Amino acid sequence: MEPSIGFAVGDGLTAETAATAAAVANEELPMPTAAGKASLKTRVACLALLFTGALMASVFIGVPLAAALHGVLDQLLPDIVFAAAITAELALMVVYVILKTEKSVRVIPA
Amino acid sequence: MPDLIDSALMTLGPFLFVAVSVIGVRMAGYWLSFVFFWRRYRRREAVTTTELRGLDVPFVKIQITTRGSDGSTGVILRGIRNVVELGREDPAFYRRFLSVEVVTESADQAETVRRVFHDAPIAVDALVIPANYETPAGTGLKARGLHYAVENRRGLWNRKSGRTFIVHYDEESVMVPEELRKLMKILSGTSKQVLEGPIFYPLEYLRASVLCRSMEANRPIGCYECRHVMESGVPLHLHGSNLVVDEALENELGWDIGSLDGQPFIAEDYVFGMNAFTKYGRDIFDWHGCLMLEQPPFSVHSAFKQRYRWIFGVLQGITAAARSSLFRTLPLRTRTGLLWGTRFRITTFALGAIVGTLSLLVVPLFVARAIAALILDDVPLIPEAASLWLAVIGAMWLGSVFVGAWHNVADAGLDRWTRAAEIARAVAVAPIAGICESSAALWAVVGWVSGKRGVAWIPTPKTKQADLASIRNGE
Repeated sequence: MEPSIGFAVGDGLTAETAATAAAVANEELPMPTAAGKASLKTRVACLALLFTGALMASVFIGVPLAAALHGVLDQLLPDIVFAAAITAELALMVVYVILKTEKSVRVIPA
Repeated sequence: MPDLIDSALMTLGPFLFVAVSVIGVRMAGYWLSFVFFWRRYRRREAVTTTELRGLDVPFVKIQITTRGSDGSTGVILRGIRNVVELGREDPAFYRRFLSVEVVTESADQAETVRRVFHDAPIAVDALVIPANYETPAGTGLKARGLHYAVENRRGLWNRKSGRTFIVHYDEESVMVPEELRKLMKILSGTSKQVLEGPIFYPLEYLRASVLCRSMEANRPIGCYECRHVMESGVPLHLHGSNLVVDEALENELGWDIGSLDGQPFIAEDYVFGMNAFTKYGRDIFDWHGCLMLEQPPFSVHSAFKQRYRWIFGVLQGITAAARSSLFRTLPLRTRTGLLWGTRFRITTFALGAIVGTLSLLVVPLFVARAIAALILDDVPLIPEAASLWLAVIGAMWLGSVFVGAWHNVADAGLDRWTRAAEIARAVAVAPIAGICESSAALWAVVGWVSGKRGVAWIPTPKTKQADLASIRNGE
């Protein structure tokens, strides 16, 4: 984007420093751009991580919630189903808000 | 063995429950802002250059204040290039009111910046802080550089005749042209003088360690509450980047914040916010809602040091405030709210280390017992209401990591599978990341309570190489 920069040793810089300065000036740290398609390995890793994340949510949200619901429902299966459903519902509500805050932020005006 | 487990649960359980509840109350503050006021968090409407042309846009000076340490030049140039990109949309228009100023301790860096942008469509200038420069109050570290810029502006450097705002950047800060246009629109219509906006951390995302990515996921949700803080005008928290200050106010107040017991302030942003509040009141603050992008620390070492500096700096700040004669003139309720509100925040942050560590022991036992009670229809370990409360706290905690990770990866240039994987990864390692992060806060509090007062301004390294060098040098 910017024109390439030259540094002269006579500017008070040593040859090595001038070379480093020029390299830094000309190097462009890239801004993140839209990535391509995910590889199979990425997809498998993603599924494994989603499972781990769900496990973590079960430990810290699902189990105490099921234990709380047990006092009302008094049956194991409904406890688990309702706890999972409530957790998923909450996650969806959070995602809805996040998407709303990001909506139109990405639209590049003409 | 079962007796031992019971004994451990009976001993640690009540303490953990209370401690977790205290942290839960703190997290509820974030979630209230997230659930009920998310519409005010970001500016969602796009702004065009054509629209800006019809507005009375004030002068905008983007200021990047840096020590000029290794690796900082590249990230500074990246931030400026995004401003220049906006300038290219209409050079004649943007040149009239938009400029960039780099305030650095490195003459080489200043020279590089000037050379790279000598033909940029907007003015890009650099100011070198002389090695022997001293402020009247003997201010040190970053505030010294900030005050040097103020003194130069008072001396008419880059003087503009009209309302002018300074947009403060950190070294690695980036605002893309879309967000800069929104900011200019907000500034053209505001009467407020100190404004802040949200910061996400997508830059160099995958180069940061997994734990750092998870730690950084805690920050965007905090920004939801930052909005509340700025709109209410009580600066319990003020970050030094994405901070926009009216130049007239900054010139009047300055950054010459002095020192505390002979030690320079490390959280100059917090001290500046407190000084502005005590002098001008709450009506000067507001939330602009335009997004800034930054990068996470690359290593746990750097992240730990960064968090340590935050907490230590705020402890310095509240101590200084409590001693200030101007602060004592504030109503008792305001003073109490500020001091104890800040102490509460620090306490919950530091408490996270103890709670997190003990939870590694207790949570597996608790979960095993709870599952056994469910299956065997046994007596539950704790009452149902207590279980529900723990579930709510768990949801708030993991939810905040989830929200933050989502925001951070949204602009990180990842495909959707990698984005999902990164969000899940942040959640999966959250217990360990949380302990690492809050340990820094605990360490700062312990250091402060035990009388430690010394600080150093060692900015978080901005490249992987600089980070490795920093670890090798034991900085």
